[in-house]
Amino acid sequence: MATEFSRVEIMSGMDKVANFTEKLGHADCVKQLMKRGVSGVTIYNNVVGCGIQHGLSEVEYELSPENLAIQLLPKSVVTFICESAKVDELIEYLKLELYTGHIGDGKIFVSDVRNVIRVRTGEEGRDALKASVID
Amino acid sequence: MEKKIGIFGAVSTGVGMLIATSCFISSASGASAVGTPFVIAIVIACIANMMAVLSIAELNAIMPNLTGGIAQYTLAGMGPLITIVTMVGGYLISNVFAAPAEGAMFANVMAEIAGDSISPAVFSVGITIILIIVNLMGVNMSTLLQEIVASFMVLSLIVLSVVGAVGIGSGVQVEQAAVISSDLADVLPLTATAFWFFIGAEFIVPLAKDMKNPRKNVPLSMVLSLLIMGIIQIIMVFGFKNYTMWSDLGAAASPHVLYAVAMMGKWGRYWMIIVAIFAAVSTQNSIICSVSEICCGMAKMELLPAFFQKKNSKGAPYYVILILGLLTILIEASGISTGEQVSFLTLTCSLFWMLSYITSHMNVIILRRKMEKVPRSFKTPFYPVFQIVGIILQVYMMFNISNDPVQRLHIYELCFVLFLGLFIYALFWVKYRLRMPLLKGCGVLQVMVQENPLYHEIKKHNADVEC
Repeated sequence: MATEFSRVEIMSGMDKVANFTEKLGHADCVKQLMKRGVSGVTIYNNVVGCGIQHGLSEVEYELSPENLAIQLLPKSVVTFICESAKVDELIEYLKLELYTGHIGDGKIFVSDVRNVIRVRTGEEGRDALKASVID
Repeated sequence: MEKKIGIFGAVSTGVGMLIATSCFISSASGASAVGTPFVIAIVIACIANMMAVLSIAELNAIMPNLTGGIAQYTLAGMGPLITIVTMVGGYLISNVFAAPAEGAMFANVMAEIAGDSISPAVFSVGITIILIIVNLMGVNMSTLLQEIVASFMVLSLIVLSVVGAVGIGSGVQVEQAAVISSDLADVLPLTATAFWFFIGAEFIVPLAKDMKNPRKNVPLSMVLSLLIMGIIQIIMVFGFKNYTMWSDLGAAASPHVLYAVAMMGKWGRYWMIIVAIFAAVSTQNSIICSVSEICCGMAKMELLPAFFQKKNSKGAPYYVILILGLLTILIEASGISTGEQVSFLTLTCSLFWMLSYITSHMNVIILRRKMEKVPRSFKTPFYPVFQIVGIILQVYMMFNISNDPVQRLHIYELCFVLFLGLFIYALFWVKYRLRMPLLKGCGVLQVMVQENPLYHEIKKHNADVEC
């Protein structure tokens, strides 16, 4: 059964996420996200990880892809919760924002969210993501 | 770093890149053949090139910030053989013809002042030698100086065309029929002549990294530059109609001087002298700079021998500068001076350029199929209509490259010989030096990795270790 909300997580290099975070400081970027049903963002910094390239740089991977030693690189994770109906639109927007064509552009993970609860007011679902009506 | 180039800056740079005094030969040749209906050919050529730059903008969206431009897009889409044949032909050889065309225009104006005592070739060869020395010394025209020259050229062209078309020049207007022929069979083949007005808008792409909102402004500025150039040239045709007899215009070696003098008297001549000097310096210098960069980029990708990227102590790629300079001097010294000879050069150059635009359209089609889901910050609207129509228009122009069957045959013969030579070089280079599949695209990632200087260092190091 399709859920009403989706979690969109971007896992990418810290530099790339820092660029994206900088854009969040601009009203235009925030407007674009809000238009796509995003009302907040959570960023996990200072995590480490690697992908299929085992942490090799683009050049190293291209020249010696058989190198299997894993090198963990500084990464960040950006999490958005949005309405499932708008998730495709959000992903298209994020893809364009993150794309450079180089290895390290990151991955976007999409998963279902069963419910959202605002602890302070007890509001659930869609209400918990909007400005509270109780206030 | 703050990005500085806005849409206005990008459009003025784009228009500046499109303008060259040899455009006057094309407009005079087209207008004198059919009269004002030449504007139909201008509109079609403008639309054809707008389609081409939209395809280039889409390729740039897939592979942003590459130095080699269309060469790298083609390598990713169609493989090394076609890249070498079309790019060495499309950009390198075509510029070898474009540079002396501009030199000849300058020489003609100077020869009119000096009289018969000095051969026009002395002026064109002289200016080329000066520019070769300046470039070998690693002196580049500052961006500001280039902008001033480009602005002066744009302003000159606008004033010349508007004053002539409105009929407010101090000279005497001529009485003549506006239309020589309105038969589409006469008018449409002239699109190849008009094509020359619109080449070079794609050189805006390398500015993308310094532009504000490049996703929107790169395609927009290229299209607007072409549109502005098209409007100026259309107005110019009506100016020609008011001040110069069609027959005189077609026969003139320096139609811009003829037109300016007819419209403004001796002041028009002085003005054109300044325009000629500025245009020759700016255009030939731009050609030397851009071709050097493209050659270095292609040598970096191993599509050309490594010596093409060798630089002297001043940082100038001296092999490319010397080869290009010598070829330019060779053509200039052969004594080209008449409008017909300059037209031969510009049309030959156009034919090579048309081929590179066809390649760009095909690259878009190939990469849309191969990499359907890759995010593109710019997508050509109505895909594949613009690509297919664009290819058809470019092929049509190639088949009608000149109205004169003898000239057309000579252009084809020259192009055939050059392409055959390029094909043989490319075949052996790719098969035995690069050892790559001839017609298989390299893939976007491989092309983008090659941009990194570390790639070549590590590759060389690995090869040395293996030896």
